[in-house]
Amino acid sequence: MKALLRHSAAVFALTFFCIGARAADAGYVDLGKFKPTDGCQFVEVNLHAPLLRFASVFVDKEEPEVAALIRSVKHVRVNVVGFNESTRAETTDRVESVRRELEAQGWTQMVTVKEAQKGENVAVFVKMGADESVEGLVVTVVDSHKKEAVFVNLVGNIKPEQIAMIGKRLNIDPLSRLAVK
Amino acid sequence: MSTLSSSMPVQPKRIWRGILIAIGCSFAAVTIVTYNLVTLNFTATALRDELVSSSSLRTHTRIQGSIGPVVLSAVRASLHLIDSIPPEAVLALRSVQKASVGVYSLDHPATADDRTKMLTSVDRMMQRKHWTRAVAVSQHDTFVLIYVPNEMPSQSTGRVCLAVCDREHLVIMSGDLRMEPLVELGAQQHLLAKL
Repeated sequence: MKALLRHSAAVFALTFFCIGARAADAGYVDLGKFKPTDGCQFVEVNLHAPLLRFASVFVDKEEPEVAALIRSVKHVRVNVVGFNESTRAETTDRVESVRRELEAQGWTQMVTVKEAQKGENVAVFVKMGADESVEGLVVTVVDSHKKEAVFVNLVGNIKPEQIAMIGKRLNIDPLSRLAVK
Repeated sequence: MSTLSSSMPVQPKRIWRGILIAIGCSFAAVTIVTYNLVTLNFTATALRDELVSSSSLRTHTRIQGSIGPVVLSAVRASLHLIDSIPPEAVLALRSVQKASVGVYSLDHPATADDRTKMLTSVDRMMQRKHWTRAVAVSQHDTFVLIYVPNEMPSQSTGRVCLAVCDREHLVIMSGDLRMEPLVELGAQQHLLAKL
């Protein structure tokens, strides 16, 4: 019971670092709905503009430039979908389908990593704006060892070199590892 | 003279009527306050009902209640009289403007099928109420859903409604929080550096 209440308090605090989505933005991708698989991890975070603005108030006093960076983000969606042997094919097909769709929509595939030893398959797509800023970014990861797929969609008006900083600040691992120059 | 004598008995009647109305109003006020203290607010009630109706969960109430700004102010004021309360707890309590909490025990844990149904059904219901799901986590036996309003009421106040479900319990919570004390608490605890 105590653990449950502690868990509630922790996620309650986490909420204040989350925000919602706007489909009208060029960088927004409708990743669709995911459903939890029995016994597997499932995480979905949707951070939209009002909540991000709200969260930026937290850091405004101490780190105004970070607050401005968070305010430049319009939407963040992160999905971590665990799979087992019975849902592996369905999940990897879903990842491939998202990648094909992004290519068809003219997104640029910026990074492709296939590491057989680590069991990682990563693809990063970007949609650039007129002023060389990133309007949208999608990271798709299939990790066969961890048995999970990760989808990240970042929407905003972001400078490429700021992506890793956003990933670090919002604790989105696939983004924080992304070093764009 | 006759007018004066005829009006004399009326005054006690009016006084008694006034007293009765005052007692009635006080009773109604106490009833409303008591009812609010032992029930959840509308959003939390809707969230709980949708979670239960969309799944095979059977719940039994353990604790349930709501507290508003008046009761919270009284609690905050009384905390100053107690020395052993940690200052962080006092600060955290200062951020809470309203809170509604329910803890329920479950007959059996939610299945994966239950979780999928709950996710879809609660999302639909909350969207109708202009709330967006910010977080969904399903890990081991714990299932967490956090909703926030589509529009924040102000830059300094945030609203949140959440549900946490594990093998044995379902916790529903809804509240209005002020930012300033949380920012102060975050700065004190160096939380920003951990972000």
